[in-house]
Amino acid sequence: MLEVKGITKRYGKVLAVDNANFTLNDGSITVLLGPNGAGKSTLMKCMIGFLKNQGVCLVDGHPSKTVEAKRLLGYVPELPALYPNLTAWEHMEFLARAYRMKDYKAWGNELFDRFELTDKKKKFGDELSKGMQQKLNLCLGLLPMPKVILFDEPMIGLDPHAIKELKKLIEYLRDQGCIILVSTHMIDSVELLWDRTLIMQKGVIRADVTKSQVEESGRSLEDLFFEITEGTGEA
Amino acid sequence: MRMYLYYAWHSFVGVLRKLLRTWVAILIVVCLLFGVVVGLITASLDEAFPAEEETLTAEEAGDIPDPEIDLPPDEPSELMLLEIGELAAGAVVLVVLGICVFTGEKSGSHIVTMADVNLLFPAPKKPQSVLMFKLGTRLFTYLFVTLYIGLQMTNLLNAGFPPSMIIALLPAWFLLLVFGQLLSVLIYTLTAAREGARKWIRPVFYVIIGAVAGAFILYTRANGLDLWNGARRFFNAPASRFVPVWGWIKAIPFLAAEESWLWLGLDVAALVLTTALLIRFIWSMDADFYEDALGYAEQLDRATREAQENGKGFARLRKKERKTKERELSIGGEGAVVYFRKALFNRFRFSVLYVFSKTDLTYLLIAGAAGAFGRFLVKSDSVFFLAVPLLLAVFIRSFGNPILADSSKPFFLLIPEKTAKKVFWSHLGGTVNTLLDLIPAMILGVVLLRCDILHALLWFVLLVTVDFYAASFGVFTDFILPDAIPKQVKTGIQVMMIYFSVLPGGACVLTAALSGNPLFLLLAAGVNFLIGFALTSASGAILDSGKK
Repeated sequence: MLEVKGITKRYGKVLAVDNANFTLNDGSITVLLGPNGAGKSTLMKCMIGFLKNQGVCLVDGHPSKTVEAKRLLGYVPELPALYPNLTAWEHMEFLARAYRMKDYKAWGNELFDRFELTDKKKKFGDELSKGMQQKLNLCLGLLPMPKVILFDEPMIGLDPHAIKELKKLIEYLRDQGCIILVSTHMIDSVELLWDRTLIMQKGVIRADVTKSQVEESGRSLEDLFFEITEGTGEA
Repeated sequence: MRMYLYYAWHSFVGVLRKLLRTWVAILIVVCLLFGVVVGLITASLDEAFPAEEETLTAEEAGDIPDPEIDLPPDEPSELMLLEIGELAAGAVVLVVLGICVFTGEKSGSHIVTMADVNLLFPAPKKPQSVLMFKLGTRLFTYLFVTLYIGLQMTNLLNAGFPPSMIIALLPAWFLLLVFGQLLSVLIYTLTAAREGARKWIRPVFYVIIGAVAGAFILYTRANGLDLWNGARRFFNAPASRFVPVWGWIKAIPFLAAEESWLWLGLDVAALVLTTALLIRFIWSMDADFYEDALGYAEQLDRATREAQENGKGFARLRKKERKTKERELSIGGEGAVVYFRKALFNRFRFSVLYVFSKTDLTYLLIAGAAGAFGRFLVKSDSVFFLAVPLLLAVFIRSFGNPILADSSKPFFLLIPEKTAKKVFWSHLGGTVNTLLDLIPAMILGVVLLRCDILHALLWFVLLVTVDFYAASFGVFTDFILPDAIPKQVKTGIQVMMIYFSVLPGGACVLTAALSGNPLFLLLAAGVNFLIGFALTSASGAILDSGKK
């Protein structure tokens, strides 16, 4: 279980995240929606402990900055951050060794196959195209098989095949009991993928709804999003 | 001009405000107080024990060739002090100008940001003015970060330098920086559009240095002088002050000390006139470095965004020749140790014959030159001839954050290990690389000088710990300061922190030199390691607490 309790982040006078509270259960896909600058990425970075903030994020009861929580927590950043002097496969080896994984090769190869990186194994980080870098970024986030994975705008820069594979993987991970949180501002990219949606605007979580609630209301996710972000109502 | 002033002023205020939001303000106040206190203590000690100190200085200066060989026996010590000062000033001016030549040649475009390319280049201005503006703001930053030079005033006064000279140091330093920045603009403007000219810059510079060194050796040999008297007669000759720019700048404080006001006026006037002519010349040149600037700005922008998204600092972008056969190795290690293993893995992969890195070759050149100089010119077997230049080289190379490439990756914090452990192993990887870089240089130096091996070994250990110690300040400074603070400011603060923490280690090295007991070097190495280790642990805790 992932619990976010009272996360607040200020940049000087700007309140980037205002008292975020929610709980995500095992085996669920949650989408964090919001317009540009809503505070989605900031909230995610607070959750993983990259930023100094008020409040706490607990992973199975452990604060996210502890080693125990880090064993369970994964994060795929929006921008790939690769070593120019390590090959694609060496990145996988490096991370697997850092996580003390013994049998990573089968899973690593499967990820490379799914994202069509097998023939790029020996390419250095800075020799990969932007799209390939993003794919490797996803593989690195998924390699340690974390129980909780936060994806920050994961679809950006991916080709249609990779988007399809990523969606399949996300659903597979949900079925394995993982907790998935996907941040995005593109509603189309997460259509049919989600179990629950958090809608953020100006640092505040304005809506926290499940798929069945939205379906019962007879509205689409897009309708709900614009209703909230363009000031016509609140869920 | 109004736009430039607006931009310059707001950039400066922005940096200052960001700095003052951190505890740097407190640090600067502490440093200033520390400088004043040290100055006052030294002054009171001088007053309390004037005779003893003078005797000690004269007796203990055994390593320096006896100045009385060539100086009259009753020559006042102030004159000797000025001789040393003028030699040092000449060297500093040469080094600063040299750095500016190289900066202009290789990285004229490296100071522009995407905002400059988008906002400044399309403006109806000459491209030189954009570059001049950027270099001007950098000059302002340099002046700001070298404020601590002012702290030396009390020490210089205590050391016996005349007050007029100490005051004249500041305008000399300012004029040197201004001229140096102009030199960078000139070199870059000359080479940006002319590939042919670019390849000649370094050889010409080396030829000039080689010619000066050759003339000095010939002069010393021809007159049968030792190193000290040769240097002071050659480089401090009255005619040297007429050498354009170099001589003019170094002469400013000494003309002030000698109260030669007319010559000082002429000297400064010549320098200002040359500066004005240089500006005029730069403005009249055809130049177009929009594409160059755009290319680098894009690269920098990407790296900065990546860093802001992922953590502290930004990863250095490097291009390397990499062959396919070098891609079959294995990293090894587990947990936080992988950072250490990765550093060695890449070192061996990209080294010439799996041993020699570029730094290796630089250290080899330094050791070769220093060893040959000590052995054949000074005819000494003192290890100091090898250790001091290498110490400087190691120190200069330690500037910046050596673990930036690791700490800027998001998985650096995510990997389930103690952050301090990851920082330590990553940092140690860099230090072991320095150790490997130094081995061939030390061997060459020892063979050339035929100095005491144990003594050299102790210096070797000290050099390695200096790297660890100085670089740990780079890591620490980088983590405590916001990402948006310019690199020069970070380096300035790093140097300032090192300056005020070097006392224990420095005292041990000085004791080793004065007492002749090399074991004090080991003590200094221990002190360096402990300080470095403490800072590394603190850096881990800072990263753990998260970015502001």
